[in-house]
Amino acid sequence: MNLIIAAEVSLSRKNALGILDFGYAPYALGDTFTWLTNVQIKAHLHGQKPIDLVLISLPEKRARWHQPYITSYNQVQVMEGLLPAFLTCPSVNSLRIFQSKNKVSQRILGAILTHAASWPTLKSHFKRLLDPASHSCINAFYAKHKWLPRLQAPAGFKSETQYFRSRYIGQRFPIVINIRQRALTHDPAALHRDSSADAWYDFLARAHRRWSNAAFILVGGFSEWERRFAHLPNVIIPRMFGFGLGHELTLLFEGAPFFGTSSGFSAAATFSNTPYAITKVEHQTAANIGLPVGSERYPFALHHQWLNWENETGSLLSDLFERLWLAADANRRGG
Amino acid sequence: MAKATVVRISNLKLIDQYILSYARLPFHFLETSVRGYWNALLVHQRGAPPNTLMLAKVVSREPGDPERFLAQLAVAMAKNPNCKEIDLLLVGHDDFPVTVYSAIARMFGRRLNFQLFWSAQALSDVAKALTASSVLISEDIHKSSRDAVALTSATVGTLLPPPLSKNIAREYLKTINPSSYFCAISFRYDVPTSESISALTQAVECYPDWHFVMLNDASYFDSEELPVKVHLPSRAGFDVLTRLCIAAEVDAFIGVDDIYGLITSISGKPAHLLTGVGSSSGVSLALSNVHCSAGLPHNDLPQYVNRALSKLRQESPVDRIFA
Repeated sequence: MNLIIAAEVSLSRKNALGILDFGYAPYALGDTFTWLTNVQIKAHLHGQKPIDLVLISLPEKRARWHQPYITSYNQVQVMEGLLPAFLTCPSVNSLRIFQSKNKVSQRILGAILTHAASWPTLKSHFKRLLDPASHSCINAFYAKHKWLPRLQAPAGFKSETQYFRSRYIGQRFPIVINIRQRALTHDPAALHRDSSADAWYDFLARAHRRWSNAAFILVGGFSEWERRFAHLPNVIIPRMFGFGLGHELTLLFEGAPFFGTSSGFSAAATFSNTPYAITKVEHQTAANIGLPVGSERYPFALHHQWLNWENETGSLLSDLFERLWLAADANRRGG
Repeated sequence: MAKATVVRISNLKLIDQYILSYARLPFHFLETSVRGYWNALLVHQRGAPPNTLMLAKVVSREPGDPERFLAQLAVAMAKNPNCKEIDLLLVGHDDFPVTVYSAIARMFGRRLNFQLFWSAQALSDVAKALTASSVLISEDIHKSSRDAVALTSATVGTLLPPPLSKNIAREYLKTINPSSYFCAISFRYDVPTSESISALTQAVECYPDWHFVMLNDASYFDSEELPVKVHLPSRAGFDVLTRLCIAAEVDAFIGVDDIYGLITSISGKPAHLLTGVGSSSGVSLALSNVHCSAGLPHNDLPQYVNRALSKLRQESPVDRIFA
């Protein structure tokens, strides 16, 4: 066995492996957080090994069948856009994003030779089988251990986020909001999951009077908001000021309560300690997340974390936010 | 109808899960094993992966660190113009975004194997599996990250920006004014806002053919204060990668030698760079299209911008545009 393979074998013995091959897994923010949580669980079950994250993003290969719009033309931008999400996993030894098939094969060969702990399992990886949104292993882990490894703020964005807080939020309380509006983007997928912009606008306009010291930080893609939201005095849009996903996730993971549609950012909140109310949870996902439609919480949710399965209206959002605001307030006071 | 579609999709899923996936299993297992072994063999025999530029870097909060990285990469690409892949090995920093380094590396258009570690030791461990010739140890990595670097004319033309970002950058400028000329501007963060605005106002008045774009985040500005022909791409939702592409697309650059100034410089466009000021990168430039000033003459920013634009008019390849 040559020295190179010996080094790979040594690495594989020390670390648990997370494999995300975008040839069969989607480029998706929410699925990234679910995957990272599954990887952490796998590492924990194998003696709390440090984690090697290996992402495979080959330019010559089209993305998964339901993302036909991701090609070699725009793949770099998609990957760069997602990168901060992969920095939210604690206990990570390395994050490696491969565009070379031979090099990543060498890394996986090391894992084969040592039967390394990995998520997905090596067998599933070779079968190209991964249910990226499934909570089955997560729920099973929680049922047995009564706790869940959580994600954290991505490394590297703390100072800039602090600057954002001091310059734009000031003494107000930040609430991270995300309104799914894929119909406004170039990749309008699963539009039935989009929220009603009118309902959210109505809520935010009223919230200015009712919760005057709340600053609603509207996060997500630059194209995913209508211009009228930028005119609301209680709404701040970080991407209008040169900030991005890393800063938005830092705000969320540092404890700014999350209020928004079931989508990518809600998955970040799901695996955080942050108070949240997730709206318009898709009924079709109930089986995937192992919950009956209408359940108020994930099995592993904390006391200030809720789900809502109804279509949003201004008054429903006000009611949901009232509860979140009180819980977040108690949380801030250490209650 | 919807129910029928759901049933059809779930049937396809079952077929895939219980039949097709078992067909894929041996193929991908074999392919991975053969490719992995072949790669290891090549590295073992040649000492390094073929056609690959390997660069190790410790990310630092020191001023000028991204600029030094950009310059190191440009120099390395100039020396290895036929390389097909970049193996970038970064030791991350808790308080500086690695996304900046990733975006810089993407500007060279090669396959990028981006590898991020949280300690120099972790990098060293992995490096043993990447190269047989010289295993990087932590002290070497720290030292090479701080080495002085010089950009020469050989680095001009090494950029190959990603197609989508490049197109977005060009279209952004076209939507402002398709027939105008664009000068990118980067000021130091500690320059008083009033002085910056005065310099920009004067530039807009004296050079009506030009628009000005501020590529750094310029968060110290309220956009309402700026003259009408001064634009802030960071306020239009553009990430660092797209802003780097805008720097490659503009017609000229005036300001500090930040990553945007260096990108314009190695794109072969005329640039006037302030290299000797507090936040300077320490990258030295020996490029015929770049004028460097060690400091701000007479500490007068408006005058400096005016003189730089005037020199561009007299000397640069964009001379014709002032005619």
